[in-house]
Amino acid sequence: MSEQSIYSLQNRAIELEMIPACRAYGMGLIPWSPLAGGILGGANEKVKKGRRADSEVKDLAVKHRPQLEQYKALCKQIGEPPAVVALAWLLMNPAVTAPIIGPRTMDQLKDSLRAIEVRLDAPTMKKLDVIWPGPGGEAPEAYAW
Amino acid sequence: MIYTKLGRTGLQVSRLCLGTMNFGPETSEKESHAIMDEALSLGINFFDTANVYGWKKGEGWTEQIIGRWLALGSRREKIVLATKVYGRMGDGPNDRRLSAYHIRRACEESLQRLQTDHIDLYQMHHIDLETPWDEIWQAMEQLIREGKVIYVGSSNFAGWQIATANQTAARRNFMGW
Repeated sequence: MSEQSIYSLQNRAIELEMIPACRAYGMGLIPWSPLAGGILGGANEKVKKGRRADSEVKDLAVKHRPQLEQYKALCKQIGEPPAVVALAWLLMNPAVTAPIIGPRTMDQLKDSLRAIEVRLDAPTMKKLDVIWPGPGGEAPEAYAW
Repeated sequence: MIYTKLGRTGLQVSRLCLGTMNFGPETSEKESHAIMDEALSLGINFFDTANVYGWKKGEGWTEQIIGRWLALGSRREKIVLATKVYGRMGDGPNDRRLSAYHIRRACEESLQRLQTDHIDLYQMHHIDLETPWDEIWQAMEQLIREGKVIYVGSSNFAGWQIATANQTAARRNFMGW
């Protein structure tokens, strides 16, 4: 009835095969790690707290430093916190049932709520695609004809 | 809150799902209970956990925290409770994966920790290529007949595995998947 997959602006691999499969079989899609371990929510290279706030997240933040800079600047333009934009981007996708929010604190829970009210316009979605490119669509057209 | 259907089912879930992986290892039981209270009051009805959460600090810990929260009363019927099976829960060769043997046992243990008589969405935490689909589906069908599980889902599957799961379930007329 549902598939829970890792999916975020930073990790869009499931757009190739999983999303078309879920659509074909009428399955709900529940993205986990919608903030990519926290880096899309502002967790940075200095982060200490949180289960995934270990070397894995730090490495991810270092690896994506230029993209994260551009992303934060775009979020500022939009006028929404990065975590809200990352969740709102998932909620814009009709294949997505509900992203998993994994709050460690009450504040993190309250902050994510706004995402269900935010609508991202087409130019913003396009800018997000430029900063965080996906696999180019669904298989096989993404890589064949 | 905005609600949507879970895939093709008639079940309505909130468009944010409360993940509980931090409960225990990172977030105290008291704070975890407060977060669940607040989530529920905000209209989040979709709660997700897994038998293995707690991880190296103790598999089952997170389910126990949720179980003690559910035991406070008048809330179980307000949430869609999702948990998972597959991860290693003990040192034995059958304390993991998706054999019929382990599914039955893992479900019983999750129910005890969660202090409830049923799981709304029981998810396979990972594909198990060593267990035949007929065995997995028979175990899940049995849990549904016993009223212990309502819907079955997956996690961390590949696209083609979703296809195989659906085709084999359809051949059995298995309606829980």
